Amino acid sequence: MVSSLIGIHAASGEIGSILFLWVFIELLNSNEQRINRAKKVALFGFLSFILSWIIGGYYYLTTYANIIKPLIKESTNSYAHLIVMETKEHAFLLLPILSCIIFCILKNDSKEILKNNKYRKSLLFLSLLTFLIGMSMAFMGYLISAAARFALEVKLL
Amino acid sequence: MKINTSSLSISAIISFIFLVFTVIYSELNESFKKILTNLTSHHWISKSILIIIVYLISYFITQFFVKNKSSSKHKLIYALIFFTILSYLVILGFFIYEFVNKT
Repeated sequence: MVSSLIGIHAASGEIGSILFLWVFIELLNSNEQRINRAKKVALFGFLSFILSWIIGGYYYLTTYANIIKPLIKESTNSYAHLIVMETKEHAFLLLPILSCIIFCILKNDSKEILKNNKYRKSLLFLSLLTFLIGMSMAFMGYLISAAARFALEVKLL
Repeated sequence: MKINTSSLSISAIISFIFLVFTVIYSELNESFKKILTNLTSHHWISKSILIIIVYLISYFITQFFVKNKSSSKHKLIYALIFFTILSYLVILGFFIYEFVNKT
């Protein structure tokens, strides 16, 4: 039942989130060199989220929906699917768009970011929000995995 | 090609509102969920594709009339931050409400 896909999904999602924490740090005290670095980091962050999206979606449709979902829904922790997974699968869709915007802004408006402090600060908060949403996805994933393991243990005993 | 970054923020807000509407309406209306499922074999794939389409179409349309003014760009990003948090909380709140009412 353990699939390497879930590991790749979780790892790429967490790497993507951490890369946006890196972008946040680069923007705290930015100069041309740091903006250029943030641009590359944001691109990798965006690609990590895309990878996580595709792998997670494939795993969800091929394994989770058929095996894990019924197991959790029948257990005492049905909230793990009905609240946590339902929220996770939909709220995740915010991340690729947010990360794409951050990358496009860094790529197109790098000079403006250096000149306009208000613009830099707003991008700083957007990067932090992307990181926090990404980490909340990881936390939700942990809750779902724990609920699946618990349901399986109960079934085996 | 110069990207209109103000339009990017507005398009994201539009697509997030669309996402929240689609998520809630598909849970409340079984026939709408069926339409989404029939589009691609699973409602989640349809939602994923539709949000990209809405985002791209919104950007294509808004770039023609949204001015890419430097002085207002930060306000649009704060608006995007607000709508992102709101979308997240509405989706979470909706599923908590559904869980409490159905179980």
